[in-house]
Amino acid sequence: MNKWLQLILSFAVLLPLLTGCWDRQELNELGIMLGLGVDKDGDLIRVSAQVVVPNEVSSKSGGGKGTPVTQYQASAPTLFEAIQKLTESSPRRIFMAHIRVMVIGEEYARKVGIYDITEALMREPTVRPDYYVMVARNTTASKVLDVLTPLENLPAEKMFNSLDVSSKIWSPTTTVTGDQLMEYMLAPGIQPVITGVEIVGDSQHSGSKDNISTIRSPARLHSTGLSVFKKDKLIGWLTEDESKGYNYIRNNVVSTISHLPCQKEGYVTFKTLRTNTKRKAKVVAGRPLINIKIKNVSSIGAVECGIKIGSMKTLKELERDSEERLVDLMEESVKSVQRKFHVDIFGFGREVYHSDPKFFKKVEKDWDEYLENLDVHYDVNVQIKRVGTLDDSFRNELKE
Amino acid sequence: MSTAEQSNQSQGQKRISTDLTENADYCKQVMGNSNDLMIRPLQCLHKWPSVLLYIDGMVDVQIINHSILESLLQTRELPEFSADDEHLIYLQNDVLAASNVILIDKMKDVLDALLAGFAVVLLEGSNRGLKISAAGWEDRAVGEPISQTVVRGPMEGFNENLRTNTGLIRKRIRDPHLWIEEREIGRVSNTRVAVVYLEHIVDQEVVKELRSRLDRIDIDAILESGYIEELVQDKTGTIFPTIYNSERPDAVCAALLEGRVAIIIDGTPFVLLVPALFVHFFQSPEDYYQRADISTLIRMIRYLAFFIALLAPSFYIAITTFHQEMLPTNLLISLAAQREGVPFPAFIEAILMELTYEILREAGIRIPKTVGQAVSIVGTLVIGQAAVDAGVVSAAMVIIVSITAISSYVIPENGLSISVRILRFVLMILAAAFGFYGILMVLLITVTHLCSLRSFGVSYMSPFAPYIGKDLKDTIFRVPWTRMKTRPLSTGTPNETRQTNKKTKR
Repeated sequence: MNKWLQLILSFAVLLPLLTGCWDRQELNELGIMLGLGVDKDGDLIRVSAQVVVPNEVSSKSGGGKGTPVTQYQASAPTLFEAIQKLTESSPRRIFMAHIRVMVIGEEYARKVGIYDITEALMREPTVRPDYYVMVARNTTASKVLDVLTPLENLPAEKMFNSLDVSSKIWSPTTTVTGDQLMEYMLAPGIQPVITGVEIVGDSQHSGSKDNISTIRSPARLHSTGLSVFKKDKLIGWLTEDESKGYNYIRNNVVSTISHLPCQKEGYVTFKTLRTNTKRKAKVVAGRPLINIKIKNVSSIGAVECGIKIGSMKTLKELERDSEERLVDLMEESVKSVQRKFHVDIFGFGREVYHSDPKFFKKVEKDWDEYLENLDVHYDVNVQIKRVGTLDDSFRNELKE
Repeated sequence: MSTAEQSNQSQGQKRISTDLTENADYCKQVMGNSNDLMIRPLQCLHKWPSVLLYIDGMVDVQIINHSILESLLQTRELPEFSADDEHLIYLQNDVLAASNVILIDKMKDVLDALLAGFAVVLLEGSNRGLKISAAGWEDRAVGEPISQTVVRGPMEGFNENLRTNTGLIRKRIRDPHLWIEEREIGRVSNTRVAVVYLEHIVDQEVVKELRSRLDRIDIDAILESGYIEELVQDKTGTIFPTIYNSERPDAVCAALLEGRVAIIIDGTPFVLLVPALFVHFFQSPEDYYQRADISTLIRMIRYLAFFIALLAPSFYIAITTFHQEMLPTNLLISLAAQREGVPFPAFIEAILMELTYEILREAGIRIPKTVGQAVSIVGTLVIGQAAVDAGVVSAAMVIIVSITAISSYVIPENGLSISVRILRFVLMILAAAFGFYGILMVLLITVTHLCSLRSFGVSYMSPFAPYIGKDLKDTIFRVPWTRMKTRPLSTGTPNETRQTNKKTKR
């Protein structure tokens, strides 16, 4: 008995010292925040929280009366003050572990910069940094979080999933998670890039059930283009083609669809099955040189013109054309960034740093100048492995 | 000193008297004139006055009629007798047509013999008697085992008769090295207890230890193997069973062949096996009758079910009240939606449901079969549907409780599932107070405790702790018989080889 008493006593003493996740909170006391929006509100920061209304998403009959999520807003000088202040309007404590998307208002990103919120969220232990970061293009984060979406009834979940899916099968978009963002902000020789999200259509009733009661929602969320950051401030946007080129260079492309014009008329569509980019930097006589090598395996999706894809010669030609197009894409992207933004979003500096750290340390301060005249060498290898279930196009055999 | 002991002593001293009526009266008086004591006066071989005593219900009337009475009441020419006892010896050797006739001379022997189902013959003028085996009381036939069922394998189970049970074992192991030691335990009940082992395979230390522990027992009655189990186990302060019990002769034989010792107790079909290891409780006899691969898979499922039965409710409590960040977002939202409107914390909810289940379980066992169905219907309705609809518990909790309940029946031996049930509640309380940290604490203490346990000198957790590599062949895995060359070393058997190492050519 004495032994047991000792045991129990020692546990009683040790337990309070060793606890990690101490807070006991019942599920129905939590306001689960899925989307976090940050906007500028005068000198303050305005936080918009998209919080789930569990009753409405429940599979049981009770749902369907109101919206699946609700939005609370609060403004305060700092992020956490504002989040805590949300409880002024929210009946439950805001639970931040399950943030899916963080939307930053464009104005906030341009004028205040994203450093403060990144720092705060990375420091907070309850927040898991696997949320996607987006910039609300031409609008505020709170408006973006205000749009009800069909199919996926939690808007934040919709934004997460649609970005996730499109980054995998469509080259102009990419995902940036919270921890990646911090890494890009910190790592030498690379600047962050964040996908933008915008509202298209009529946003008048975006937050009401009207928005999902018609086949075509009046207001829709649309992830579009990439925003370029210098340090922690937004300085501009890439076009769709520039974004594609960026993603090819950064090896973000998993698979995508692209097209080439035929010699006469129409297009040939390519499906990229897999593609892999390798970046290598070399310093030759004090001049950094970047080598980009892409290996791309494609198949043919559709042929609108009457070329004979059954022949090896045509395929080789198509491969060559496609290689040229890829080089063009990347060149355009690099040139436009060099011309317009003067920041190294491609991580070329990082490659130089990896291959010759001493040299990079010397030029780090003036790296943006080096970037402007940087020699980039492209080496693209496209292989067409499959042509689909048809051989030659049957356009020529169409009956008149 | 109690009166029972006093009479015991006087019985022990009292010799059989030469006066028949005195003997008969003594028996009547000691047994309180119980009317099942039969005293049949007769003229033995039509010459000598004698008396036949037996207890009705404990003897086979056929034996009394045909073997004893018929031979005693015949007429035949008699040789000359000089001494008194020669009459008895003549009866024993030449007259009685019974297999087992023994001379006795004390009144205590007479009473013991009667109570063990013997018939006793006393002769006028002789101070000794004859006890004749005539036992024949009602027995259940050898039937299918109820608690340990298999799909494939023998369908014989032990019954309540010790002799039948030893016979069932002998039938399977026809080897003179199968030794059966018998003793009587219980001052009042005088229960027969047999210790069975294979003399050339067993670790003699275990037998010696078992003998001394059995001899130390001083209790008035042994009514079931559970008494012996509690009285001989190594440590009483544990919730884990350290003695295995089986209703199946094939399982007992397999254990004997592994060098373990069986304890058979008269009056119960449950045979105890020592030493028992933790892994034994996950083994079913069937594992050895079907293919090794499927047995291995099923054993893994049993271990998995063990952990589910142990941890499912506490995990649910810990995750939903402490570690919500560990759930996938969609699951969290759906759980949260189910919890909407449930007035209790998850812990209370879980305790409520688990208690309801335990009550239903107990009721299911105790209830007469004829009304059993009513309970199961009420149980299904209460647990399954109404509680959720009424918003008392969440639907997820019902899933957790059901999977826990089903999993706890996967463990082949009942003893361990009782331990699991107790631990489950401890884990739930700790999970509600400290989350995963509490669960981890309980598990750590449990593992430490398990490693400290011993069953007749053998570490309970072997072959894992201490690690015996060769024994792993029959733990989570069951390797094919061709690979089971050695007996389990953990039982301390001196005879390791189960098969010769020669490779059979096919």
